Amino acid sequence: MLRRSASFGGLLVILATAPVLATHPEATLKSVRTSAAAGSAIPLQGEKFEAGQKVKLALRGALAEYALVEATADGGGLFSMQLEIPRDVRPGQYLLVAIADDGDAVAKLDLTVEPAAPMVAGDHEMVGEAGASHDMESMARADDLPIERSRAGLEWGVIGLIIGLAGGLGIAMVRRTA
Amino acid sequence: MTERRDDGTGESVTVAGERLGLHGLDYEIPAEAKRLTYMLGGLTAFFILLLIVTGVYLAQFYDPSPAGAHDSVLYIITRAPFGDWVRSVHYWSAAAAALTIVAHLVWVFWRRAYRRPREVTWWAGVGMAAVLFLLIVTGTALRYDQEGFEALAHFVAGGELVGVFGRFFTDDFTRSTSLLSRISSMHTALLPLGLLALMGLHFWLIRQLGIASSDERRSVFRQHAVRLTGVALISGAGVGALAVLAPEGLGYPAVAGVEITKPFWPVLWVYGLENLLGVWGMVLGPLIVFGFLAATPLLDRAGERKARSWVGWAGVTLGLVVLGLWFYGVFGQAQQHIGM
Repeated sequence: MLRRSASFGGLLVILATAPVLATHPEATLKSVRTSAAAGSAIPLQGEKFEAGQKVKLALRGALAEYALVEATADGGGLFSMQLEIPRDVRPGQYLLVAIADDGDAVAKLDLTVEPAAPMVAGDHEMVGEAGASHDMESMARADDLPIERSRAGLEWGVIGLIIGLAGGLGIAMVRRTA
Repeated sequence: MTERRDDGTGESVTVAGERLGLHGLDYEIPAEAKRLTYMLGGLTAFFILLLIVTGVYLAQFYDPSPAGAHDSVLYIITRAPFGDWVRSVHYWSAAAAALTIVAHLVWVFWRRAYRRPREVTWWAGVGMAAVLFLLIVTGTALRYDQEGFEALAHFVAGGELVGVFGRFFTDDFTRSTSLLSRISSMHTALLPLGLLALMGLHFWLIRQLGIASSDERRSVFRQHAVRLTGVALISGAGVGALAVLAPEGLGYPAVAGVEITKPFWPVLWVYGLENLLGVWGMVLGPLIVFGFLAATPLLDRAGERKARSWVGWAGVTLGLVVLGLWFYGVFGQAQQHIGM
């Protein structure tokens, strides 16, 4: 009975995952670079995609996602390109993902985006040490970022419940030992 | 779970108490231990527990790489479920723990409860205070905003100042990972482990040696524990409310080469000393304070005489100096201490 149940369960698992595995074989994204400045380009290779598969490339960060270009795999499931990182991409840690038509991210690559290099030589005022210091000081901020905080009603409720329970229980315990 | 049964001796025993060995809490302690001044250590332990719980949650979303750290903190505040509140509870718990540990230390010092046979208990406590101090400064660095970056730069400057002993705090230690990642693992693993080990030793010794008190009236520890838990829960509710009313913010992404922020308030006395002595103030200040505290049981040879020994007055003087430096740090102008 147990062996039959295990076999049935295993069959269910295979049936559930087979469509996913069949649709998305182990595609990969590769690059000789692990970091790039915003506004620059990196060499990118795609391997083990389906023949003729079209994927959308995107940069996924903690706070934002940037849509990039489309790539099409050849008959061997390969593509190769110079991928432009838009200049307005916020510096940080990203996942470069290849998104298939069904919305699944079928391949990923870690990429660090560094600040964009200055566009012209005079962009950064390096007029001696004092001048550079002044320029950096004017860019540095000691105050806090303006952050818009918004909480769902459920969050308020849970937080209020935790605070209320803790306070109420605490008062009851102190009064009990008074 | 609370059904009362007779264990055959005529004493009532709860189902939970029998299985958890709660009778081990029914030992005698001085009656005055029910006062708030005897709860300061227990309250500190409670806030440390809150810090650990909230810290584990925050660690699920924090990215310790220089490229991702600031954004991940912003993600915690704006996107992670309850992230803003949990992070603020973490911040206010740290502030509360700093307050209660200083109050506890002052109370124990003033009552000279570090004397024989409680020297090791005292040293474990001073060790915990030093570890908590390090947790505060490493935690500041993890924000990786302007304030966090300046904290990290101070680690590097201090590490370079003390030569080979400070190599761990510089980029020269290894090229395999960033300094921020190593500070992060110090903050989330190494220091909490050290703190818990010292706490275990501290509590064990208190249990074995008893609470230092001249009160001959007796109470039961279980009563003290229930009362302490109640006070802790009320304090925890206060911290939770503060986290709602005054959530902790985050500074702008750092700009290297400038020093324009001041540190978290428990560290402002070191900042004040740096204003006077430069970077050496950052190293000498904690060394002198924690060194004096550690040496106190060895220096105080006044015995059981009620008259306060010179060590007590030296401690008061040092405390007033630290307080003065703290006010100087608060109200003095922000200064550049290190070449960043």
